[in-house]
Formats: sequence, structure tokens, C-alpha cells
Amino acid sequence: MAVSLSSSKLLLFLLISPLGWLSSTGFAFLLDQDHKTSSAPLEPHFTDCISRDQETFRCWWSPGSLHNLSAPGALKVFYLKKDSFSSDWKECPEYIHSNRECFFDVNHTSVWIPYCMQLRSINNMTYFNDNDCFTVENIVRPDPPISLNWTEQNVSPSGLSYDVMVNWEPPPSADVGAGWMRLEYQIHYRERNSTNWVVLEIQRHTQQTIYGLQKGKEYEVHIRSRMQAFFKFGEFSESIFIQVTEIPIKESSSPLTLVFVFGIAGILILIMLIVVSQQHRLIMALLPPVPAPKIKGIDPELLKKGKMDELNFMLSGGGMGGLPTYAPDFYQDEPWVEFIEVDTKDPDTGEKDNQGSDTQRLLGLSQPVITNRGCSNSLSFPSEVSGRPSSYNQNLPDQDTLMLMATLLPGQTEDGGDSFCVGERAVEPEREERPLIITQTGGPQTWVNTDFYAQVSNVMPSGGVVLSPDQQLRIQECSSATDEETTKKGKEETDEQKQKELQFQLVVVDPDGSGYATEINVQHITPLPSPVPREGYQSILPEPTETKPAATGEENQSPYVSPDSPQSQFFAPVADYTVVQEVNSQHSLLLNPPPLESPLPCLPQHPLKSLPAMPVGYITPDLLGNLSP
Amino acid sequence: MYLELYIRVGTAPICAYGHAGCHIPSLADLFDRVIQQSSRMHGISSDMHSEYEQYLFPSKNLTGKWKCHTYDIVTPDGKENAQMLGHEQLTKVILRLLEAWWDPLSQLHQSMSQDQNQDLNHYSSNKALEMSDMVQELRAGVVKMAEKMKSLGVLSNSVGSIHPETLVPSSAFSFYKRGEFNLMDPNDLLYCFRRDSNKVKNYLRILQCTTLSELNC
Repeated sequence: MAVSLSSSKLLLFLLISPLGWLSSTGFAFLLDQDHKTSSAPLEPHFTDCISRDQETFRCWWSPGSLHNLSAPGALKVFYLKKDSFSSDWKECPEYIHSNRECFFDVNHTSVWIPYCMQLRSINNMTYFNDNDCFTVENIVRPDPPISLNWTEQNVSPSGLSYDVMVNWEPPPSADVGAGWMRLEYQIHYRERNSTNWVVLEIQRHTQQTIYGLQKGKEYEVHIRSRMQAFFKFGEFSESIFIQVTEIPIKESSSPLTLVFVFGIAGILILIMLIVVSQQHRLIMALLPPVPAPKIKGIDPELLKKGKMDELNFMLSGGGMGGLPTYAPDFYQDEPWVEFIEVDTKDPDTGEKDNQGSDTQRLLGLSQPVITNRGCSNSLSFPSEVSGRPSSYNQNLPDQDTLMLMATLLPGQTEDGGDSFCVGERAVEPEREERPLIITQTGGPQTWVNTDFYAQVSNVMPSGGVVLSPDQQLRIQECSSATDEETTKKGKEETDEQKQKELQFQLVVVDPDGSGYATEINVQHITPLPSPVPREGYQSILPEPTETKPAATGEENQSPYVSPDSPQSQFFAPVADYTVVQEVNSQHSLLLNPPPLESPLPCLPQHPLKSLPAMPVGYITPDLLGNLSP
Repeated sequence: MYLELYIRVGTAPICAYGHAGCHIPSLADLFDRVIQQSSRMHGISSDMHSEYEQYLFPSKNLTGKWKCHTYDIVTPDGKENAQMLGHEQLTKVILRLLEAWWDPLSQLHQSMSQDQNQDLNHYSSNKALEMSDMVQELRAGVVKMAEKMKSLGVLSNSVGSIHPETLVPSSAFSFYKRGEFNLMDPNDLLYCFRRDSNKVKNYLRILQCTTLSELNC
């Protein structure tokens, strides 16, 4: 069994180990010569068989101590190739007697096939050793590399040692190009007068670096090669000598470095001086001050911790009687300071709590600032008309330009004094039918109750635009509803008033009656005298003539009248934005009822809050399809 | 030990179907990989053989009648013969040699690992395992290379079909059947493997040189 075989071999190894390592290749001519000379007289033997290129090989023999066989031709060489074809001994194909050499050329050389060599003398003596058998690949010793050269590389900072890159070419006899032989190389070097060679690591490239050579010393370098994965080296190449003398160039560089160092130091000192002298400016430029909280009229000292009482006192208006518009001289020298304006308006001066719309504030108006100029008289509403401190200027006839100005520029009450004064006209309280034009004119009171967004109720022929405060109407209704409960006496009045108020809802207007506006010449739809707005569609009649007869009694010949139009079937107040539901056969648009159909929750609605309810029924593209007749 | 000097061959998948993002190596790349692998295999076999010869008796196979189990695979015995053999024959020879060695090496590994002597055989059994793996990989690599060569028109399609019966020599079969691999001297086996791996290495180099025209061999 293999187990027993291995163990037995191991045992034998332990006994005969000193001899074992010598016979690594099994060749007799590699054994130590001295070992043989001490024994019997030397018989003819082969001294060496070497192949240089793995395609040919040579064998040398020696007659040994039998000098009578030293004559050329006294000994003959026979070899045996142990391939499957032949098993007989053949004579050496080529003798070189001067060297006692037998040369096997390419035709007689076979790699990987065992050869055995034999010497035969004339008198039929055969000298053969079992160990003279080999295979060609195992006897290859490549030629030394050629063109050994060196170049100097990195010099150490001290300038005393340097590295050298050595390069060479593979031997021409070895067919490295075809890959038939693959070589690896080993460099030896030493100092000129030394006896020990330094051996570098074997490697496969054709260049290698020798590190740490010293200047002024001479070195000797040579190289040898062998086949990869084999053990026999070839001969050493010719030695080359490396020597590098001292290089004085380095010395001149030191003054330059000194100059550089001092120069840089001087520049650094200059920079430091500049920085120190201009410290304040640099800090301002690099680190601008962070603005602290500053409130106009309040000492910043009060804003610090622990002074809440004084701060409250100041803010509540005490002390100097409120925050004056002129600020104490705290920050005169800092023009970039922005102040926070604190609003200390007296709440009593405001008109109505819920009526004080955000619009006013948004428009930048404040009570003390806006003054009733000129027009204020005209703005006193005749109480018999509305009975309420209404902000409506219901009885004013239309004034084209004035209305335009008034309705279009709600925020500029301060400027156009006269333009707002629609109220200069005489009020006609007895007109039953109101002009369906509502003018939002004049005074601040009107503005207070006006929404920021108001529906355009009318456009005058001159181009003026009239707004209708629909939102306000709702509040009016609400309050009117509450009033009904309380004052039933004035029920008719309220109805009438409400009706009148409801009259003031207009939708699109085109005074010229041209173009597309004619088709949708919206008419005002007056509700039937009913306090409860009914559901239903409000059709907008395109034909102004249909309603003309009803409007004859009116002063206003505008096409958009028809308070008592028989065709009107509606009731609910028209919303500012109404959805066109469909177009009927008469090309009239059917509108959606306004979203707030139920009795209005009589909460004091903020005018602006109803705005979000408007875009309930915006038309979508698929609904648009339904509209096409 | 010379193992450290050999280049470690990294394994990278060869894309069989040209997947996106997979680098399909060229024939030159395949040759390089295969040759590196064969060189490494030969180096390891040489180390193992020299170890055995160092510790054990030198083999008598050179003078004795004993032959390697691959003796009947006809192989070219020189550079010119290999060059004259042609691509197809040379590739076939390489594949036959590689095919013949996987089984014996795996058995060698098994026999080594079962040996009681742990000091000597632990290292050697690992080597034997490594060698058997390498033979397998190298065979697969050469097959792929042959396919590539066929696709390029270098080889005819006769090389492609590899039947186990035609590759493994009958002598090896007889050995195998009788289970004689286990009885073989590891030293002899290693000697034979060293020789055959050297053959494979050199044949691959010749094949590369004759196939790739840009090398100007």
C-alpha cells in the first residue's frame, strides 16, 4: 500500500539523509569529485552534459585515471534514447575530439525523452553508470544575458548613496521570443575589493534596481540566467563596473534655499504687520456685525433681559404717549438699520371690528393717515335709503369717469380727492329702480368694507368699470335676516331693500354690445321678492331686446337691465364666479346656483372668507364638451 | 522554494454568451491566461517533485522499465516538431495530456491526505489538491481557447468534440481499472506529472506563437 511504502521510505530517508540531497538530479557527474577520488581508480566517465537552448546538447567525457585511453578515438560514446521506438545504443552523432565532446544536433535531440550515455573503449570495455541518464530539459543551462548596462537613479538627500537600474538582453541562443525557453535572472554584485558577492532576488524581467550604492566606490556586477522552474544556472556574464563620483552641483543650491527661506520669512512678517495695523477694517470686512433687534422708539437696552416692565410700558403707549413717529436718536448713525413698526392704533377708532377688513391693512391704510377730504360730506348716506350705516352708495347715478377711477383704484384714496366724490351729485332717494351700477366710491368707509377682490359690475361706455360687492351683499343679507326677526315692521322695507341690493349684481358687461360679449350679454337677474334665495338656474339672456320692454321705464338704457324680466326665473344671488352649466337651445348660458344656497349662516362672515367658496364649479374640459350645443 | 516567484493567476469569468458589461477576452488574452496557468502548474509540480526527491530516494524511472501512464500519447519531442505539427494536432495533444492527469492527481491527493505522517504530507497533500484543481482549470481554459480559435477559423471543428475515451489513454484506463494509481510511487507520479506539465507549457507557447501572427515568431 502507498501508506506502508511512504513510511518505509521515510525510515530509509532518516538513515541515509546525508547522501540524499546530493542526488537531486540523479546525475553521476554532479556528485562530488573528491568523494570519488578517494575511492577506486577513476574510470572513464562523463564529466558533463549541457544543453544551451533545449534543442541541442553536448556531453564531455574524461578518460579518468586510465591515461592510455586518452588518445582520441580510444573511447566511444554511445547513447540510448528511451523512447518507444528504439531501445538500442547508438554512437555519438558528432565527435569533437579536441574537447572530448559529443555534440547532439537538432535532429538527434529529443526533449522529454530519457537519454543514457555510455563510454565504450576499443577493447570492448563499457563504462556505464546508472546515473548517466537524463532528459534534455533537465540539463539546460542558458547562456548568460548580453548587453548588460546600468543607469543612475535616485540620489539620496545626503548625496552619499544612490540607486542603479541595471538592464540587459536575454541570450540570443535561447529562443525566448517563441516561448520555447522562459528565463529568469539573478544578479550578483560586490565592491571592487570585496570577496563577498551580494546576491539579488531572482526575477523574470530584463531589468533590476540595485539600491544603496555608495559614491566614490566601484562595484562589479554580473548576471546569470536559468530556465523557469528548473534549477541549473548558466554561466555568469561579463562583469560591468559601476562607479559614481561626487557631484558638486548640490552645494550651490544651498545659498538659494537660504535666500528663499529668508525671503518668505520677510513676506510673512510684512503680512503680519499689515494685518495688525488694519485690524479693525479687516474685521469689519471679514466679519460684518450682525444686526441686533431694533425697534423704532425703543431703547435697545430695554430689550435686554430683565426689563420687561419698562418694555411693556413703552409698548402700551405710556410714557411718551405711544410710540411717536419720530424715533429717538438711537440709530442715526446707522442708516442701514431697519425698524419694525409697531401698530399702536386705538381700536375704538376702527370702524367695525369685523368690517375692518384685511384689505385696508393690506393697502397700507391706517386711520390716522387717511383723511376725509372733500368728499366726506357726499359720503353721508341718506339714511332713509338704506337705513343702515351701509357703506353703499346706492343712489348715486353713474358718473363714468369718476366711477372708473373710484372702482379701479381702491388704494389711492388719498390721491384723487375729487375723483371719488361721486357723492357730490344729488342723491335721488326716490328712485325705485336703482341703476344697476354700483359705485364703490370715495371715502375710506367704503373702502373699509370693500373686498380686495371685487366683481366688476359694469363697464361704462366711456370705459369705466363698476364693481359689485357681492360678498358684502351676503353679509348684508345675513344682517338683514337677523333684522327681520327683530324688526318685522320694516319687513317690507327690508325686502325691498334687499331686493334692491340684490339688484346690484351684475356679471359681464359690454356697453358696445359687440363681439362675443353680445352673446353673453348678461343681464342682471333680479330676484323675486322673496327673502329666501331659491335654487335654480339663472339663465343669461343674450338678447338685450327681450328685456328691453321691461326696462323702458328706466332711465338707464343699458342693455343689461331687466329687473322684472318675465323670463327670469331665479332668485338666488349670483355669485361672483358662477359656473356655466350648459347652454340651452336659445344660446343662453345656464349657470350653477351659487354655492351658498341654504340660508346663510348668519355669522359675521368675513368678506374675504367667502372667497374660497367661489371656485366651486370651475368648468373642466369635460364639462366644456357638454356645453357645446 | 520557488513558489513565491510565480505569478498568481487570478480567475475571471469568461463570458460565454456575451453578456453586457462582461469583458470578452481576446484570443491573445486567453493565451496569456492559459500560459500563465500552465507555467504555474509546472512550477508547483517541479517543487513537489524536488521535495520528494530531496526527502526520499531518487526515482529509478529513468533506467527502469517503468513508464508514465501517458506514454502512448504521441507528443512532439522538439521545437521544430511541435511547430510542424499544426494547430489542431497540437491542441488535441494538449487536451489529451490534461485530461489524463486529473484523476491520478486527485487520487494522489487522497493517498497523501490519508497518510499518517502529517508533517510531510500535510503540505504535500495540499499541493496535490492544488495541482489537480489547476489541471481542471487549465483544461477548461484550453477548451475555451479552442472554441475561440474555432470561431476565428484557426481550428477546424474536429477539435471541438472531446470524448473521454479518446483522450484518456488506454494505459491509464488500465491503471485506473486496476486501481494502480494508488500503488504508484508518488515520486514516479510526480516525475511524470512534472514532465507532462512541462510539455503542456511548451506546447502552449508554440501554439501561441504560431497562432498569433503579431508575435513574429
